[in-house]
Order: sequence, then structure tokens, then C-alpha cells
Amino acid sequence: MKADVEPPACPKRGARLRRVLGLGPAGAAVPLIWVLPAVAFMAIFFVAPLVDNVARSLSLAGGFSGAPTSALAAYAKLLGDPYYLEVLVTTLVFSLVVTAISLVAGYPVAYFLVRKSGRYYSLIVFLLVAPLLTSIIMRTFGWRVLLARRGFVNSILMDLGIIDVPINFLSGPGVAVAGLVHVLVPFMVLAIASSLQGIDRQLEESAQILGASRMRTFFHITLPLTLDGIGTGFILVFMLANGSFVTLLLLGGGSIQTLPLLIYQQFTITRDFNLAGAMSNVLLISALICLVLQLRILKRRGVKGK
Amino acid sequence: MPENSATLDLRGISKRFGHVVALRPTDLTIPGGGLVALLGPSGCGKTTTLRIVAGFERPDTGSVIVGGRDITNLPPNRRGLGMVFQNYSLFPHMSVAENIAFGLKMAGRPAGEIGPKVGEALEIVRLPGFGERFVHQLSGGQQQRVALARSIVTNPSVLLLDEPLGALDKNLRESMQFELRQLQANLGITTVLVTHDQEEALTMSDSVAVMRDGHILQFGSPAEVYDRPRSRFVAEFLGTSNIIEADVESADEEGVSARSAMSEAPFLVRGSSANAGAGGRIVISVRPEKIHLTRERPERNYIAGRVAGHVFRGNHHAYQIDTGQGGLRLFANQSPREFASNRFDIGDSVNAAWSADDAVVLSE
Repeated sequence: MKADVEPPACPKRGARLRRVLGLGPAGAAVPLIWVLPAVAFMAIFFVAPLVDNVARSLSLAGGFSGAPTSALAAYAKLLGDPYYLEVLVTTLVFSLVVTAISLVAGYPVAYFLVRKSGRYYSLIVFLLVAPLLTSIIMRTFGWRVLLARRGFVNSILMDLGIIDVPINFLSGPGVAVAGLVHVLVPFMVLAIASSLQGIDRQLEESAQILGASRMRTFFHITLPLTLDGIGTGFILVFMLANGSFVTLLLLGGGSIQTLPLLIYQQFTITRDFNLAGAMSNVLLISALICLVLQLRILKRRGVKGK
Repeated sequence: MPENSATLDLRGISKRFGHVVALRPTDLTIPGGGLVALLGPSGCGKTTTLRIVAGFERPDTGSVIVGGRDITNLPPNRRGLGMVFQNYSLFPHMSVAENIAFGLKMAGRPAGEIGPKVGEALEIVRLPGFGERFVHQLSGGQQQRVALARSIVTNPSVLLLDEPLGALDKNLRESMQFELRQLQANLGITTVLVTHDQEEALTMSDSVAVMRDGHILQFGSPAEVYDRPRSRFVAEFLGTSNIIEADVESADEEGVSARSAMSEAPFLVRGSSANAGAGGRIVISVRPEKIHLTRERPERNYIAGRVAGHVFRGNHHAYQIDTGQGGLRLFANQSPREFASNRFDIGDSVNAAWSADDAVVLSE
């Protein structure tokens, strides 16, 4: 979109003004005035809160944490205290694990969907997307019902005599990972499926004629050509996992402490808006850093020059 | 490289897709080092045949034999073939050199051997020094050469070409026809060329198999199928042809004599008395370039008419002659030299004549 809207190299001032006002010469791309509503919306509901949050995170007005020693006191506390650093690292590692599992679980599904589903394609896509229609709380709560002390899984295992005492599934971080993978894997599948769909099957046939087995064809041709989709899915799932909150609140029984949970506590329980604001910004920046890193890795390994 | 010129033998292969018969039981033998073109319209079974040889489709019946070895049940990667696809199918995430090296790498050749072989292949297709480029940086013709280099570098026993020049523009296509043919002959690789372009089939191959509706209608040298088509379909698919129906008066070893309401003169077709008995009906094919336009009345083998259209085609003048007989139009070509001395204008009366040697009786 940006490329369409931005004028070509070195336009004259008058021309640029006319374009900005949507009065461009006949044949000009979409008049800029049309994007104004979207820009206004983003400015009010996205940019302004961000700015507000940055202002809040600066310790000017003084918070509940006592008299500020400097404007960046909250940040100093966050990045200096090993506890907060650990929470930050936990958040990123947790998101990474969820994303990696989503990738490994989602790729075969995407492959099956594109290559083997045939007339069931629409049905599978529907089944994939259908859970997104229910509330994330419902889906997450389902896991609690399944894995509760006297839940479905424990009952079956005990009836079968496999275990005597109910297993406490809900206490470890495992169930939080499972719950989040469940919620996020459709994004991974759809991202990979769309890139798989774009692959010319003849490329794979070429590889086979040249002596590559099906396995080697996959690793040398198919997989590299879907790196785009993998990257999209990876970033999507990683970002969503990074900011996920409800799932972790309901599952995991407090065994895992991530930044979003901490922010929630700071806002609702401690009511330290200053520190909470700083945390959100740290979360945002760390997510952005991860995004840039992933994009760079993908650019190097993906289809070169494309 | 030319040491392995294996014979390709297709024995009774056939293929159905559901209720659709893609290929009826077909036999075809390509001698080692030969180039056979499978020519026909889309849906004639030529691509299915090629895909069966490649191993992408399993034939319902019959077997594929290369150099005496039955490969019918081998997967594509163990057949040792080379293939060039219409859109080249170069790997977009690899450089030119990596593309060409792919087959060697899969064969497990040592790295020290791969480099020189890739360089050699690039020399053969006249793209030396292009190894580091990426596919999207190449023109269509260059991509075509890279695809060719990639397919021959593994020293395949049979080379399969699937409409290899279909995506090139006309000039490039013509020069590539010569180049590809020369290269194939030099390397001595047994080759199957699939094409719907009759000119490509005629100029490039040792033999042409004209296909339609899942079987081979006629198999022979390019000159044979062009000059002596056996059916109306072959006559019309390979260039333009004038198709004339007539009733047989007499037939002997000399030839067939026939008459038609279209002309007061008899038609004589020499040499070809195929399935023509007295009283029967025959269909004659005459190529436009064999027709001689004249104002005189020959003793036989002509049809009178009026010039209905005339276009200049560069190397010849093409006429359409309206015979006034049920809308039958004849096509006739004149060389520029002949045009200069003996030109006709639209509306002129003209006799389209031909020699008895240049007409062919079709067995429709």
C-alpha cells in the first residue's frame, strides 16, 4: 500500500500537495484522502495510547513506588532487578517454545491440507478456523475441565486402572504451553498453507527427476520455498504468545510468571501504573527486537532477491 | 558423454484417469541417440506418455524399458532421466550453479567433481560465467539453457523435453530449435520431445509420432508425415492442406483415377492406391505450396475458381481460391518470383492445378 501511495522519486512540491489532498492528476493512484479515516483511527486508538503509555512509564508525577529519583526510575528498576529480568526472559522463552511447537505441529497439517485433502479442503479449513469463533476463555477453560483433578482425563486414567491418584496436570507450565498452542496453531497452519499453495509442483517433480527422493525433495525444495509462510506464521504466533494473558491466567496455576501477567497485577492489584507502563514498553520493545531479528534471518535464508 | 545412448522402448502402455482414457495401449521404440517428437493437440495423450516415461504416472498396462532395463516400477528419482519442463522449473531459491549441481549432489558426487562439471555444462549451453546469478536475473532464453544444462549434467540415459520452447518468443524459438537439435545430436542422448507446434516437431526430430485421442495416428520421418499424411487429421494438423473428395473411376499399380463434380478434368493420384477400389470414394490432400495457379486448362488435376483473398507472407504469397462448390476454398501459395511474372488479383478467374505426384490419398 505504501508503494502505491508514496509519490515517485522527487516530485514537485505542488504535485505532492495535490496528491496529498487527493487532487492528483487523472490516472493518479488512490487519492490519499481516502486513507485518512484509517490513519485517524490508528492515531486515536493506537498511537495516542502508546504515547500515553510512554508518558505514564516516565516517573515524573511520582507513583506509588515512592519518590522518583529520575524520570527513568521504573525502567532502571525493571532492567536492574534480576526478578524482572527473569520474568522477561521467561516470557520470551515461553513464547519461543509455543511458537516452535506450533510450527512442528502445524506444518504437517498445512501440508495435508494443501496436498492431500482434496474435496475436504473447505471442511478442514472450516474446522481449523471454527475454534476462533469461540471465546478464547471458553477454549482455555476447556483444558481445565479436561485436565482437572476430577476431570475427564484423570477419570478415564483412574477407571482404566492406569493411575491410583489423580495427576495434577494443571500445576505445571506444560498445560499453559498446550493451551496456547491450541489457540495459536491455526494461524501457523494458515500461514504455511498459503505459501505451500504457491509452490509450483513441477519444481518438486524436477527435483525428483534429478534424483532426489521424496524426503530430500521436501527438505531441499518444498521446505525452503515455504520459509516465507513459516516466517509469517512464526512471527504471528510469537507475537500473540508474547502478549497472551488470558490463557496464562487460567492455566498453569501461577507456575509461570510472564510480563503480561505481571503487568496485569501491577495495574489491578499493586496499582503501580508507572511500573506497569514501563513493563508494557519493555515488552513491546523486546517483541520488536525479536521481530526484526526474525525478519533478518528470513531475508538471508528465504528466496534471495525476491 | 555420448557413451550411453540407450534405446527407449514403450510396450503397450495405457492410462486412464477415472472414466477418461488418456492413453490407449501404445507401442513406441526410440533407437539410441534418436529424437522422437510426440505431436498433437492438447488432450491427445502426449504429455501422459511423457509423464509415464518420467515416472510421475504409473501406466495401467504395459512397460517402459530403457536400454533393456524395465523401469516401469521405479520412482522418478531412480530412473536416471533428464527432463526440461515448459516453464523450466528452475529452483528460485538457488543460484544457476546450485540448480545445475542439484542432480550431481543428489547422486552423491564429491564436491571436487561437481564444480568442474557445472562449469562444463554451462559451457555447453553457452552461458559460461553465469553460475553465480539467480534465476530471476535471467532472460527466458537463458533460463531455458540453464534448465537444459541441469538436465544433461547428470548424464541421463533419456532426455525428456516437455514443450521446451513453448514459452519463448518466435525468433528465439527458431534459433533454439537448431541449437537444441545440434546439442542433442552431439551428446547422443535418446530424446523424447513433446510439442503441439508442428514446425518444432518437423525441424527437430528424427521421427514424429502424431497423436490424437490417446493413440498414435501416424509415425514416421518428418518428411513422411508431412508429404504422405495418411489421415485428414494428420494432413491438416501438420500445416495447411487442401482436402478434396472424389469418386474412383479406376485403380491400378500406376495410381488412382477419380472424378469429382468440382472439375470436368479427372484427378490422377500416382503411386497411392490405398484402399481405393473402382466406385469407391477417396479423399485427396494437396499442400498449398504444391498448387500451381494458372489461366490455362491442364488435362487433369485442376479445379477452377476465383481468387477470394490474397496476402503476402514474406517468403510467399498466400491465396484463397473460392471454387463455388459448396463453400470449398482452396489454399495456394506462390513464390515471390512466380508472383512477379504471374500474379492474380482478387476476383480473377484461376485454375488451381497440381501434379499427380503431389497429391496423396487419405485413408480417412
